[in-house]
Amino acid sequence: MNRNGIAASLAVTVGVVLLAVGMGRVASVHGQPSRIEFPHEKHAAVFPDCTACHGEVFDRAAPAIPTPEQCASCHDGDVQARVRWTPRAAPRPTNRRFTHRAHLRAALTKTPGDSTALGICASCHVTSGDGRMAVRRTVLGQCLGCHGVTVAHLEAQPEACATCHLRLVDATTLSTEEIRAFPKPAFHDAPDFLLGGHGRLARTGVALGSGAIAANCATCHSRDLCLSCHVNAPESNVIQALALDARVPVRTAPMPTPPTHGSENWVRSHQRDARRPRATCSTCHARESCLTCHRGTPPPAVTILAVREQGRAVGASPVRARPTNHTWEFSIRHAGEASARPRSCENCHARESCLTCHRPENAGAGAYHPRGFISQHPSAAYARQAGCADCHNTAQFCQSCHQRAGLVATGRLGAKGYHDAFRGFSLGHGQAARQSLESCVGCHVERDCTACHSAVGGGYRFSPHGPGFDAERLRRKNSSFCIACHGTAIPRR
Amino acid sequence: MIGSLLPAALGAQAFRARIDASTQRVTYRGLVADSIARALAVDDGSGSYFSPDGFRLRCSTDSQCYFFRPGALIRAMPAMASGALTAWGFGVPGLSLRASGRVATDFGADEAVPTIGPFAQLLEGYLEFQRKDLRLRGGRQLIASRLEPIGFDGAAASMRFPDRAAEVGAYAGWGLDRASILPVTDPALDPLDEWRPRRRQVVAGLEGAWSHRYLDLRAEYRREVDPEDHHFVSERSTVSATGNWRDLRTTAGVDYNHVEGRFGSSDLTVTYVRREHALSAGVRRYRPYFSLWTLWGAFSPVGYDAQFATAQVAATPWFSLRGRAEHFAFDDAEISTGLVPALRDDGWRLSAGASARLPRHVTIDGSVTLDRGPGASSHSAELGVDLAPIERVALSLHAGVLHRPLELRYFDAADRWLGARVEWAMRDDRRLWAEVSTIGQERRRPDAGGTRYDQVRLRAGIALTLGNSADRAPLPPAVRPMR
Repeated sequence: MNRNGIAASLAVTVGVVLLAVGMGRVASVHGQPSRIEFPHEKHAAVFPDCTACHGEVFDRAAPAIPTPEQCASCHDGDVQARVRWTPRAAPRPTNRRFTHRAHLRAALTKTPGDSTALGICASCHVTSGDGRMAVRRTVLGQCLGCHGVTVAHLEAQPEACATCHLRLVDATTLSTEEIRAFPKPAFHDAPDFLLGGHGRLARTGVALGSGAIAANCATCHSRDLCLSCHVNAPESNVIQALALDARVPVRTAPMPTPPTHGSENWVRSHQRDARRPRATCSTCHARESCLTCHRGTPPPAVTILAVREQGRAVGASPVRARPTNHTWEFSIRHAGEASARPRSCENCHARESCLTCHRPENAGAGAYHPRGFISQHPSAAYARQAGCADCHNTAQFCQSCHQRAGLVATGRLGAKGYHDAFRGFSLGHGQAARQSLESCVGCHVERDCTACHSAVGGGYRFSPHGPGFDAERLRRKNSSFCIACHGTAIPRR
Repeated sequence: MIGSLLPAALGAQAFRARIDASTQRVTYRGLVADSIARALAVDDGSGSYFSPDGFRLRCSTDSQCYFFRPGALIRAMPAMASGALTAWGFGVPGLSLRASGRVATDFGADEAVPTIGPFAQLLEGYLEFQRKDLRLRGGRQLIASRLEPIGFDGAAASMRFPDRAAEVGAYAGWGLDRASILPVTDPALDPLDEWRPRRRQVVAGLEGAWSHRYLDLRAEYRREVDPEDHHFVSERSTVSATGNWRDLRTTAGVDYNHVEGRFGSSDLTVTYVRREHALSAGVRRYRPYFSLWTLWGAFSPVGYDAQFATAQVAATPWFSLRGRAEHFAFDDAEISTGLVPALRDDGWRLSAGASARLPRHVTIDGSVTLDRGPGASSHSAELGVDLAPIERVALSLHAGVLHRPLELRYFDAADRWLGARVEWAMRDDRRLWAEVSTIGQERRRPDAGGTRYDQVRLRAGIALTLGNSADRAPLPPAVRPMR
């Protein structure tokens, strides 16, 4: 075996030994049937009765342990070799609700004629079938049997725990390490235990009328553990039934995500669940959880959640994710959805988000157009890829810029020959004008057109009206519109 | 402007403010109309005339020939600062003040950037009173709706009926011009000295919305009236709907122009969305709209119908592909002359791209676009890289090429650009950014009018967010954090 192998073996060995020592210590704390260091079997002949050493057990609150002087009466170096024995100064840390005196009194009160409880030490300290001096601290099964618990210790009914155990906050002699080493009941491993299951079990205490929380919870836990996860701890009578106790280890592992949250439609559908009367959002979520995404006007379901503060868990911290329907071209087609259901947008977007683009130029304007758009814009504008006039005032934006660039018209169409790639453009401009009049307006004003298309003022009287033109309707809506070209002699047709 | 609002803000218990400032340096070259005597024109033998220095001429019946020559270099340096303020806690639950404004100027010699003036402008400024089922607003406000955004100085009210998942609202006031925060009477909106109304139009509208688990419906009616002669400036209404069923989302909407008595722009899109892919297809109709204080509506502009489809596929968790195709065809303009050929009246647009997310917050994105239509076309390709080299610093690099032929004028353009942007989020509420890009542009013409000019564009800005509202303040300490 090489050096590394030896080191690894040593490490494993030391670890196993330490673990064994620790387990033994833990077992002694929690009443497992561990052996006692004192070799009772060797002294069977010397002590025919337990009372020789533990005679005051029913008269004292603390266990009656022999003193070194009592041992030295035999182990004096002459009769027997001396032994080193120092009884512990304080009682052994425990969460048991037990003294021999109280136990005897209670037993006599409950069953006055039951002789088995009257000072027969072996009934509790010796496993059935073992010899008289095969003494153990406690034979747990016999405790459970007398108290009517027919299942395993950690599977006892919730109310049964308090029969023998103090609430954790009252077990003041236990250290954090000893509490951390509490054995975990098997039902804590149930699939739904973390997400809802433990709450149902905790509330059984209410149903059983034994308090606001199940007694078995209070045996091992304090409110501090609940505060690891429960944002709504102050509003929960069940949690408030537990006292605070800083010794109790808190949960540091991340909580599992509820199965409902993993569905593809969760972002879209969670609002319905949140609005339900029995929604459990407040268990894990503070208002700040929602504000991660709900930057706009928060919906009512958000406002009823508590804000982060002392006495509550921080709560789940979601990561803001882009909704699945916000695909790459969503900026192109978002108008339809936004106009049909603005409330949906408001859940995530503040009004300022929209106004970044949907507002005339401001310093924080977003980059709606792709890079290089300044060169591309003639084609996008001419074919109306998007409604330019929705965001850009034609006169202030298009005309003023084209004016600086020398692109605006300065007279009747065709005189200067700007559209030189289309021979005869003056004659054939009609199609271009009707297809993209909004582009024409970027460089031309009305008088450029009315020079030929007006019925008054010396024009050529070329009619500009084309398909779908409802003259009568327009005259009714705004007769000034007609007067501009026809004067008061508006033709009726 | 922001300073004038501060006293109100100071009286509030909570406020939130944002300040943006940016400036850039831009140079470009325009055109200058010029002419020479017809006697100086040179005939190339094919019927085309050129100036002695090679410019193609348009010679009409008079004694002059006209042409455009490249103008002098125009330099602009616009600078702009805008601020937005929201304040509440005035002692009246639900009452808040919202305002935004900007100051802008051009430090360049030529003041060549549009929409810079006037120097100070109020974008919005209104008081809002909001209760569970009621919202009232008074002051200058912008309404973004399907009938294009509109601003006005007036009042708006809306009521919600949560039990019926419905909402109704109304607004009225003195309107601002289209896509502007200035009234139509403002000289800044009339650079070419066009005819303008003498008084601001009165705008009024009604809105209604109904929401269901599977369907959202919204309708709006809006009219604008010239208060001088009480004629309509516009009168339109719209209905839009969104439906959700499983992974299908349908969006539809239609506008109706009461003045013209016909439907306006409309669209229908069906989208199938899954986590790993999204497909959508639809049809849309675009119809231009002009206010009645202009004469443009009399020229009977025609719209077009388009069919489109898009697809996005996440081939792997880090790599995705996307594409879009659209075909459109204009309505018959009902104009024909045997003297000149007809122009195109249809076109298509294609785009495709791919994006890869690599470790260490590196994203590479590339795309190509082909746009072929009447009047002008373009095709381009672009590549960008986004990365976060250190915490709170984002860096992006981009490069692209574009070619754009025109149909009605010899002025094709070929562009190449290369740029970088760096953004430093010093804190959650303070952000600095800067951009630099070089653009090489070649304008091609079959005469001396072809020019080339390259330029460097520099932009820089800062964004500050101030406030003491709950979402701005540091979170209070919790009992124990979850790890």
